[in-house]
Amino acid sequence: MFRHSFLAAAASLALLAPPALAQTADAAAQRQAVFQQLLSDPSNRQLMRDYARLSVQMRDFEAAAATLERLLDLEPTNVAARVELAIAYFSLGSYAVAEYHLAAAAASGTLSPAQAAQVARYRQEAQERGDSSAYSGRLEVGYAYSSEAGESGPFVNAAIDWRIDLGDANATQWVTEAAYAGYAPDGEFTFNERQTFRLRTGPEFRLQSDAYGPRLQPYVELNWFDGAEFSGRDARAWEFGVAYQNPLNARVTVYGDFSAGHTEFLGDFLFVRGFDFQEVELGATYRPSRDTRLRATALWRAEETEEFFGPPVETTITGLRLSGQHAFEQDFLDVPNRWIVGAFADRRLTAQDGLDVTDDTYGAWLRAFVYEDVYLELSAARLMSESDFGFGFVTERQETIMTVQLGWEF
Amino acid sequence: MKIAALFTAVALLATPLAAQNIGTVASSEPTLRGTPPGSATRTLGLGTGVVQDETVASSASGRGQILFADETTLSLAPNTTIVLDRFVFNPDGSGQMGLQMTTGALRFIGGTLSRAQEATVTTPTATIGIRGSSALVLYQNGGSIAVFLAGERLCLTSSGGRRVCTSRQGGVLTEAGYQGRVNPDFLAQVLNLIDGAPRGGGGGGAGLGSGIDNPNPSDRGPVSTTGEEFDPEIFDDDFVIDDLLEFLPSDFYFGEF
Repeated sequence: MFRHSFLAAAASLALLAPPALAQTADAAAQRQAVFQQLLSDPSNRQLMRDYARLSVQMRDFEAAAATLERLLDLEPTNVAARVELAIAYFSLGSYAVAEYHLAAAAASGTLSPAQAAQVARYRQEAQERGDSSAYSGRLEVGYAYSSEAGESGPFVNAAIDWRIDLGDANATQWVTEAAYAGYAPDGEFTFNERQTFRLRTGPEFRLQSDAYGPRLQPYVELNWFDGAEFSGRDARAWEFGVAYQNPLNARVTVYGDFSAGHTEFLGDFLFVRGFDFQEVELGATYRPSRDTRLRATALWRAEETEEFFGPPVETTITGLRLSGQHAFEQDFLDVPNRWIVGAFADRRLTAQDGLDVTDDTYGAWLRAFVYEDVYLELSAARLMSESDFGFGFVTERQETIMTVQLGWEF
Repeated sequence: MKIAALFTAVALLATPLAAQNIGTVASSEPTLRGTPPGSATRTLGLGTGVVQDETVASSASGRGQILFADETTLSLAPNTTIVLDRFVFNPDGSGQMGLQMTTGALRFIGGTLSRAQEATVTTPTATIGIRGSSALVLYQNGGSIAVFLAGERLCLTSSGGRRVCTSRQGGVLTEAGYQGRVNPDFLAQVLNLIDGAPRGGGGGGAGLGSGIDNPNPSDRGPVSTTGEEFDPEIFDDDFVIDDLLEFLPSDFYFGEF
């Protein structure tokens, strides 16, 4: 049953990918045809429009910028075209040039109120992204419910990503990420109350001095876990690792995360003092379009406990996770910001001293923006666990978790 | 039959082969002047083709843009002279591009050729290599300045052989090395030189309708000239799932069997 469920979830994820490949091939052929006409009629506005539109569709913002530069040369007072040009440079990460054109558009005195608001938003964002110290993050408050156990309660999640530009020619950044999650189930006996905090920090290097080449981040990570006061499950962990990612082309990015560390339990009455671990994650992201992404990540993790009594226990975890998400066009839904839908399927196999556990988890979520940076998120996940103790003794557990949360992105 | 073939061959030899256009003048204000190899200087108006090894010059009040067959766009500032001395664009997209700039300033927005390998702009004091990128290049007061606008990488090799590179958008290179991020006032000065000062009034005009006109800035990071981008959330799936599993009751694993 589990295998079928996992395959069904994986197949559902595959359906998230629209037939974008064929569309892109069509767009490339069309664009080439338009360009050949443009060479002999370079000031034809309709051809320029078609060429720029197809270029944007193909994520070639440089070609769109070049076309808009030519249009502005022919129509120097066209402020709407200047705003489009600024956004093309913004998309390429050329924030200084984007700001130059946005400032010129703002100073023209011909912007409509909607255009003026748009220009102001882009100017602020360009300014923030150009800062040598930049941060972004989210704060979420919500309510969770687990159906089989009938447990529910409020929770808080928060995350921040802080990047400091180290000022060199290759824009090396020092990246620090911190995340907090807290859950307090309803009821007097709150054994499942928990708080986790995670901090990861390290420099991110461009390995080949290319802006979009491979990047490597050696890092140190610290984790805190505090359970209910009487649960005895408090733990602290540290690890060293290296995270790698490399966008091979517009569609495929490969990544890996290699780490090793130690977790120490703080409870007095546990038999386990803590455990050492090594973990490897290898994955690939596939983007059939800029708005859709699919990921596959393979996991291997080994743990070895430090026991107060007796020999260490070794545990090996292997897993495969498939996930996907799609951001809808803003115009499509006429909402303040793009809505995003996502889904995942995850299988983990845990082998420990004659015990084999198979955990299958799959779920889906919807992030619906009610304001530009405030969203309502709904998620549901189903977890099925099968434990095989050998000698034909097998147990199964299932649980469904649903959450609703209000979030703020900054 | 043989005589007819002979006449045809003689006729072909007698007619000089027309040089193949490698690009076209896409805007010109008021005019550019071009000197093809072995020919007299001519006016390059809108839509005029340019050929290999042609010298293109703008006057003190002139500027213009040239659109090349590989989709590269060159914008020339006033008082700029370039020689289109290397342009090979094969049907499979391979080839190379190089030009000399003896004086002036230009903006290079790359096309197909510079994505596979560096396109070069050679000034009297340096060779600027532009890969997957857009850049500004100036030669003034006996020195070269290159500003990396967007893309993969910009390198400058001085005539003494020293090579420096930057992959920082807005990074500035000279013969003396990496100079840091471009000063906004300097950038505005160069763009005003190449494009003319921005003009207001005139009713604004309609946009091009390129589809890029999103009312809100994308929360995604920048995109390379070939569509590559980094995903800052690439390692976050773990936490999305872990966040959900945080809500599992503790007895899920340790409770009833």
